Amino acid sequence: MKKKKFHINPKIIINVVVALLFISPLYWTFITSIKEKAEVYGTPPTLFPKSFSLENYTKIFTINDGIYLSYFFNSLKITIITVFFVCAISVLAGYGFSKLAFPGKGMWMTLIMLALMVPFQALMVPLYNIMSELNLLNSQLSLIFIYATFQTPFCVFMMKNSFDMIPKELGEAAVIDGAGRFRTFSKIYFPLVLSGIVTVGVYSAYTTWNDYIIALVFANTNMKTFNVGLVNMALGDYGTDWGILTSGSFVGLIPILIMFIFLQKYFVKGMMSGALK
Amino acid sequence: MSIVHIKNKKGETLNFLFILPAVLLNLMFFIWPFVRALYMSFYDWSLMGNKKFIGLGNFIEAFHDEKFINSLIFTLKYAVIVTPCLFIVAFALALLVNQNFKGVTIFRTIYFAPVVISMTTCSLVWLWIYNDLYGVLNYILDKLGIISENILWMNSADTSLPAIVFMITWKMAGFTMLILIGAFQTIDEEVYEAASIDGASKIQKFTRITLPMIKSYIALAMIISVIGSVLAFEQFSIMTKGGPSSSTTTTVHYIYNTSFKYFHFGYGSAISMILLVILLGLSYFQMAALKDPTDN
Amino acid sequence: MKRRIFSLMLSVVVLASLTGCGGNSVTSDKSKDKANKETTDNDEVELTLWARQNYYDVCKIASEKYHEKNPHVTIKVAEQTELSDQFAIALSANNEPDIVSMDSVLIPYYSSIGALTDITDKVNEMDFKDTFSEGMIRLSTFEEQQFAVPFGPDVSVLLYNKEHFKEAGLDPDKAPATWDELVEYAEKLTTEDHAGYVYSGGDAGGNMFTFVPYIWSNDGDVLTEDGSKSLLDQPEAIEALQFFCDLTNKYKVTPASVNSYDFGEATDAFTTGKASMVVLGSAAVWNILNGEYGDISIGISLIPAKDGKNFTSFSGGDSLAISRGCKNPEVAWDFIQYCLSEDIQVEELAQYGMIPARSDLFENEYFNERPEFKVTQEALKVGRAPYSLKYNEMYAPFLDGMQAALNEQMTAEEAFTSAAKKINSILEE
Repeated sequence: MKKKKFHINPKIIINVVVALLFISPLYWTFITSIKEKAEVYGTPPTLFPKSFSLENYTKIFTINDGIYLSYFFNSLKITIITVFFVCAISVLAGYGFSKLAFPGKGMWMTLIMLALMVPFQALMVPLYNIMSELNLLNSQLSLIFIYATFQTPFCVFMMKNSFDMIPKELGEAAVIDGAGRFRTFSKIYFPLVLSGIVTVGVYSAYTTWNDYIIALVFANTNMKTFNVGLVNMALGDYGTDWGILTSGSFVGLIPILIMFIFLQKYFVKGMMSGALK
Repeated sequence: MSIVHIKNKKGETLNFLFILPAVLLNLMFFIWPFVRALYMSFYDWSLMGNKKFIGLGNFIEAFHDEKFINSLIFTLKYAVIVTPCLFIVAFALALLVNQNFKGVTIFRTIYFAPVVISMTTCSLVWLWIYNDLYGVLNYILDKLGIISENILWMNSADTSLPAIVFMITWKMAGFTMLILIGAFQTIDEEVYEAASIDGASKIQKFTRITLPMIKSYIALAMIISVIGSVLAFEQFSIMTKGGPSSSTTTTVHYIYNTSFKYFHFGYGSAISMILLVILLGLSYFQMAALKDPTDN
Repeated sequence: MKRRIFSLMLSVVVLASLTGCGGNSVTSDKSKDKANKETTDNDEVELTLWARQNYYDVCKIASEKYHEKNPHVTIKVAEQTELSDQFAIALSANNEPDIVSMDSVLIPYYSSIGALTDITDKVNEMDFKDTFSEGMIRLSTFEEQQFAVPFGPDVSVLLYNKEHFKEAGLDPDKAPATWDELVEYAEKLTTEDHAGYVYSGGDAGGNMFTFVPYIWSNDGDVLTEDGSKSLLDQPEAIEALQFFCDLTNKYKVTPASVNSYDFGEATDAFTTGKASMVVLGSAAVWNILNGEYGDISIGISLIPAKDGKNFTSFSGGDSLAISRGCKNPEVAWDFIQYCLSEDIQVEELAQYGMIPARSDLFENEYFNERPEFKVTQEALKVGRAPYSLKYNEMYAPFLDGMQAALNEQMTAEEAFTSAAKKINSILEE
């Protein structure tokens, strides 16, 4: 650690400047959500809100008997399950691809990665047919399976990378000590890839939460997810309700950001050096 | 890299169990529909099962399809421009917030926040910001005296492409930044200290230690980013509607129109396959170029 | 060991919750099987209806009211944001809804592939079958059979900002009626703060609604009557395009950016006071009058006709159809008839500013109060739409050509001549 004298870390100053610039579009989005309608549609655009109203936020949650609240929790439930599911699958698979031997490794990896490279629009009709045949249409399960399938490639790739970074000496030391396959995995490797898991978890969370097209096609009839519901509400045939759109985006932003802030501590450097010693 | 010292059938089967869930998902919900889509591409396939086998007919037509080729050119142009922008900004941000000084979490969160907004909302809000008549950007630029006439951002590819590249960079750089920070975290502090003792400068440490060690992460981020931009759809469909005169129609947008607006599902499948082959080529090329010769 | 137990527990939890939410997935599909058996009047009937955003509320209320009168019938209404896409995908898996409220211009295509049930006889039996607009009836017809019935029309009309008119010294109750007047007014209305006239030229939906009536009022058309050939290369259509090019490039009353505007942007330009005149649909009229966009005093008129004589409008909106997979067409038709009754057309549509599909219901308490709606009714009477089995596909070259001309990459004549060629080859396929 550098010794801190009585001067401000220059990095902080640069960060403040950059952060202010970065946040300006979000600032614009936020103040729009708290302005009164007349000001939103008035000219010229006001950079500092003259009015203040929370009607956009209350509207989202009270309109239509609070159905948007149910969409919100629907999305929350689906997202949490998907994140756990995806993390579990990709950690296991990443470890397998990185550290274990079995036939056809390259082929399986390629097949999984292929899913990244096909535009979803090309698969919509066949996939819909399959879900219909499996009687899974309009169920949360179909969404979870689809999200997991298309998030897995990146997540497996990411986890494999994380495991690759760990030298085999560590595993071999454990084996010498008599640890079996699962033990080695859970006690030695798992703690070292936490930052990779955080990345994967956050990626899965926001990808699932923000999805529009999959939820729209596969589960729009009996229930909606938050994003689909919000877009539906904000976009009329003729105009966009900027108040609803901006307030809804903020409401959608919060859960993921909270998760992100909370998980920051698992992003810590130097766990490796401890283990090697 | 294998630590399993017993290379027998049972060992391998148990090993396979680790990747089984991922493989099962992939087979059921990707490979299976993919095979069906591939099948469709050899047919003149419209709704209600009125299908006619035409072999390679769709593929041959694609090579003569001006709109398809233009969409490929535009899409690749976009990918080539947006990828370096993303990486330069992401690197800069990652360097700014790599260390754990007080308040770094706030900054990381601010840089990451745009990633978490849905593409739909982001495109709509920026479309509003970029509007020539009532958008706030032109208003600010005018007030600052930078422009005297309204810029018609979305009216031509010359202005809409940079505008959208800027928006996407702002939106996605945080994600690549995250991967890079994670990558930086895997490098042991001691390696840097040892190098300092040997008299290495900051830049030398960066190019000789940092970069090589995170090469695989850079490869990962780059491949994901390139694939993502080649598959770009929503931001253009919402902001430029693919125009004017189809000049900003990406290939996926064209695939979507072909299948769902013109109801030529077989042809849509076929051009998806062509796009896939292109992407495979690009990914393979990137992996080869970024491969660490000391990797196994 | 702890970690292993942890991951084991995790997988159990995940599996449990997965089966938990799989449970309620099956009902919607199973109910279709139930309805398969022979039903008499007293058996439970459940049908599904998909509607677009604009008409979802009406359909929902209609289904509730209908259920009160016929307790054994439940119509489940679902709102589909991208109705055509979702309907197409559902068709591919035999999963389409029983009834659909769809964009009228797509009815010819869906009828031609056999996705909709022939209801010619049923429509002919209706007392009020002659009260529907010709334009909408034409769109519901395929090879002389009826496959849909008009439900919620949406027509294009000119909206203008009365305040801007007053400021420019124009009579706020008199809208431009000819093309020359449009130019004259727009020139007076174009100031530093706002443009005289805008429209949605960025996508097919907006463009057709707001530009094609100009071609019609000039005695031209997009396609021939039977939809087999394009008429864009005719002087009447080219003149209309030239007129629009002049608005932007010669008279400078329309910003070139309208080339990329969809309906939302054109509406926003108008409601933020950045444009004085715009062509929008009747559905937008209600929202604006209701103060949805802040206070703005508007006037409505028919779209200016070339010489003030042949006024036209684009008549879109929704029509109701029974899909071919419907298990109980009799009940479905009964519900559709209810949707066309005064109970729904007046109480639910007219009251909320939407035009009834039946002209015999135009005189109603709600519309009589607001003179603006007289205009929309007039528009419906003269409303029409191009008839094509390949609607979206044939429109693409039209849009490309128009945008190229407006951006001065081609002359109007070049643009529409090449567009017509492309359209003809598409129609010939």
